[in-house]
Amino acid sequence: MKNMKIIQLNQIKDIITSNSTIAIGGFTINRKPISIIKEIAESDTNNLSLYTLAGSLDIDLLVEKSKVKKVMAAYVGYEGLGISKIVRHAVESGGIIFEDLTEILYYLRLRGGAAGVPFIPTSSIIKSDIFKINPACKKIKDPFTKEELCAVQSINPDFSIIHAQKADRDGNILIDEPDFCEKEMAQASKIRIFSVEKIVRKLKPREITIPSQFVDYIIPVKKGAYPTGCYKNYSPDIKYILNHLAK
Amino acid sequence: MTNNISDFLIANLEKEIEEGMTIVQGTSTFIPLIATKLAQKGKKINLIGGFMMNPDINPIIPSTFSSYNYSNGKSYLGLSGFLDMLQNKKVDLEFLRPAQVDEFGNINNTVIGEYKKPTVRLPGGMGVDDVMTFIKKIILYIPNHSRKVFVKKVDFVTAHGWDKGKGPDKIITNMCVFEFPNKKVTLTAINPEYTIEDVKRETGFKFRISADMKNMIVPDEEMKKRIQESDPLNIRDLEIKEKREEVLKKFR
Repeated sequence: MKNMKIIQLNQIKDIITSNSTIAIGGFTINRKPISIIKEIAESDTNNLSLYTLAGSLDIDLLVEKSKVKKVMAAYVGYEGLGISKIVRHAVESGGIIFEDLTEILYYLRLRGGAAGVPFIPTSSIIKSDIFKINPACKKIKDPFTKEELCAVQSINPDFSIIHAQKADRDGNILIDEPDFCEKEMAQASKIRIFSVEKIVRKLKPREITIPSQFVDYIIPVKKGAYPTGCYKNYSPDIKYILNHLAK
Repeated sequence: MTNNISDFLIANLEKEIEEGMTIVQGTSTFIPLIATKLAQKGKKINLIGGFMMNPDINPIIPSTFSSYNYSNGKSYLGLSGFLDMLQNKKVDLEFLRPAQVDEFGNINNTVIGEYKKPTVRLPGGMGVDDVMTFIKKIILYIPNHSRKVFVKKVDFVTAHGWDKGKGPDKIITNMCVFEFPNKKVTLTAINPEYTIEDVKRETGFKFRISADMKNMIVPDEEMKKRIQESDPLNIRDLEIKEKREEVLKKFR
């Protein structure tokens, strides 16, 4: 049995350290670990680098409290609801560094970190300017075909914070909808923290998205993603988010 | 314009979705979401929506990746499953919306101005260069054809165009359609409400004009009715600047 601990939200401040890289699960206004984010925003932690596919309120809440040095993401915004004025202003004024990812770049950095290899090649990215600005991308020649490829450097984030629908008492996690590479994220990260809507006695093996081997802390917190949505539990609170954007 | 722009674009995008295609739904692209929903009714297609295989589309949340917008998904791919399919060239079509596009079809959705100190930080490009690299047919759509969007040179290449490899196949706007025969941007169809002179005035680069110019589809009352039935909350109008507030009011 693995040494997973069930903790409370207020213990987050003793776990997350300054100057670290934190990978965040979810997608825009869906299944973001907002309860954990709020704890980090209120803690003494600072100088954080954030790694996520598509951010929204998660990024805003931390940038607003000056906790962030760098955002690594393929998108930050609220889709149909609007843009992030907070991130836009912070980047335009030079307050934070934005390092753009593509979806494949986001995925392969985590996949490489999960698999324990130094890099993974792709034929994407190399013809775009993201290749020029992202230090995790370097040119490489396929030793078999001689094709020019983009080598994507693996990443092992210090922490990952992920919200999921369920955990069981053994520390297994169920993400009860299509995931956004949270499995690779947990496998690649050094310390893995999950907030969950519910802890059940035992998940069936085929219900398990992330096995307990890749889980360090579980925080039971109902509506832990609120006001972003958590499928099968609650949809995003559009009214709340629109009010946040109107601020 | 007497026609509703989102309905006009939906009619012209839907036409591009062919029987047997595997199509992927992008981020925050609501006009294609409704076009795909219409296509699902008449054509056998494979849809990757919310990283599920072949779900039904119920547009109720203004996020194209909310699982609440999809039902009856046949299986879950997840992001990694989709990206593996993508890199293996198993995806046929995606519709993208650029903030800027140039004569080669290079797309910018990242920054206006210098990358490190931009005048405008845009939300970001998601996987636009990934899909440009691996998807067979990429169609750009633009509801607000203007020189602000159609620029001589993009400030940042978020996805590459025909000067660097295979670029977008078509650009479909509220005014016209551009294609790239021999990698040269060419006007091939026009919205009958506009003239070629109108298009020239609103485009920041020179383009060729096809000898075989066509008229774009203007949706009839029946088509408009089908669109409205598919999208009763008018989620599609979130992409139309003048109509956004009207749609968001329903959620306030």
